[in-house]
Amino acid sequence: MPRRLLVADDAMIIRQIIKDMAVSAGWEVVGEASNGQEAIERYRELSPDAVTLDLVMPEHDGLHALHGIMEFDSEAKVLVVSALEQRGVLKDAIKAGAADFVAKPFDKRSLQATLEQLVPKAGT
Amino acid sequence: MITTTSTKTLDTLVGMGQIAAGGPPQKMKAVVGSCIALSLYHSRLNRGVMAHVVLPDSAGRGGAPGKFADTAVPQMLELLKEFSATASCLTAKLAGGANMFGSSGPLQIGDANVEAVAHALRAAGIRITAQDVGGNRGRRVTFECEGGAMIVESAGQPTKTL
Amino acid sequence: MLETAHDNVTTLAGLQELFASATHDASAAMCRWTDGIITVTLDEVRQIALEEVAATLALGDDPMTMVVMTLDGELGGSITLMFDDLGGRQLAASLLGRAVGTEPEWSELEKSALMETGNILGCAYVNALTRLVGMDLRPSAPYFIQDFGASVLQQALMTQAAAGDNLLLCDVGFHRQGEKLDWRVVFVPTPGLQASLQRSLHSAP
Repeated sequence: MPRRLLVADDAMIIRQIIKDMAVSAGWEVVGEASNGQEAIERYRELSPDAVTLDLVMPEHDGLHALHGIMEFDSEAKVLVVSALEQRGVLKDAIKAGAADFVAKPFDKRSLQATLEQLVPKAGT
Repeated sequence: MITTTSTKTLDTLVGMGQIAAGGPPQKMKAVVGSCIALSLYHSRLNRGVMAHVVLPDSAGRGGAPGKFADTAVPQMLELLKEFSATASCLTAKLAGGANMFGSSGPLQIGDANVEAVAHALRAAGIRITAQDVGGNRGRRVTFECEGGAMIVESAGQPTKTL
Repeated sequence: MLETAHDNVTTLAGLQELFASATHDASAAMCRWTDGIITVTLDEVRQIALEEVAATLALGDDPMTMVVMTLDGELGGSITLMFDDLGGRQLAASLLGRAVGTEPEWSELEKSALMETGNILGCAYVNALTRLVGMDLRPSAPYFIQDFGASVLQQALMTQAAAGDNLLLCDVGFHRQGEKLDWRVVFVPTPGLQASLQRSLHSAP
């Protein structure tokens, strides 16, 4: 049974890059979101094994989404993927329950390795 | 408020906050987004003045008079006074006041600028005869001191003559 | 106390150094994003009058392709990336690993590639400036616009225009493997952010 991933980023190109990387690593990308509120709603519908979550998004940002997701599922595995790399922001994200952080622009292998650590393949 | 006039073409570039006055064959030009290109024209004297208005209200602040709707109109009238032009003989045209980032984007000022300019003109007793305002597109505006036409160009749109 | 001409030059020189350092970080991010192809360098930090913005930046009469990000609040500003249409399309094609688009309208994916470039570059600057002023700066999501450069920049500069008649403008150029490109990034801080950056200059060891 493949691990299920939700990809939340307002940038179509980033969603594409993450999807391609995840699929080649054996994940099933079950959904996408392009803003924070959509990320919360999709999470509730899909209950994925993990989420990649951008912070800077229109309408409702990633921190809003993170709070909403963790409120719904305190065990959610949320990997923040963002170009915003500030101590205060990272602290807020970890405090809100983010499992890890990858800075953009990211190396695909590093992102994949971080996802693997969050949700290891069955049998590993 | 120095404007730049090309001596070859007599085109005057009216930058943000500037005002330019003149007569034929002069043309005043401005590129506006949320700003307003406001022209006042006196048909009998064939003289005109254009302001590039940036913000609605000076709130008593200093700065280039053309920058604010409430200071631009009085200053424009002042420039036309030397020709004995009175407000009742003038007609106004305006273009601009767009929201360049869409209705949900930041720094929404276009609509406020349009309203403030209209208010200032009403207060001065000057009639607006034509306008091309609002929307989400920038405008390249040419005001012709010969005849008082205002030509408005937007990317991908037909040119309008006000 | 009025700033003397000497103070002004010293302040601009200090800000130049500060933005050069931030640009170095932004260039590293840009280089990683484009697989080593594109870098950025600080061309100039200058004080200009509001009415001279369009002429100083030689924005011309033709529409440009731009990505805008804003920083809201007193410690704010605007970051505007500007490309000619072909240049923008070439960058998008390179990021997407495909041929340059020829349709008259940009695809959503092409726009996304340019917006994300703006996001990465903008956030790199914001991250560097945050370390300097000691307070988090939060950028907006990027906006993609194709229109007259002066029209877009006017609205992006509204907060600064409301505060005064002079702007501090940081002009950054792009390079592709050593060759200067006809693209630029313009960063205009609000007076509040500018003052905060100046304080950080004076308190630096």
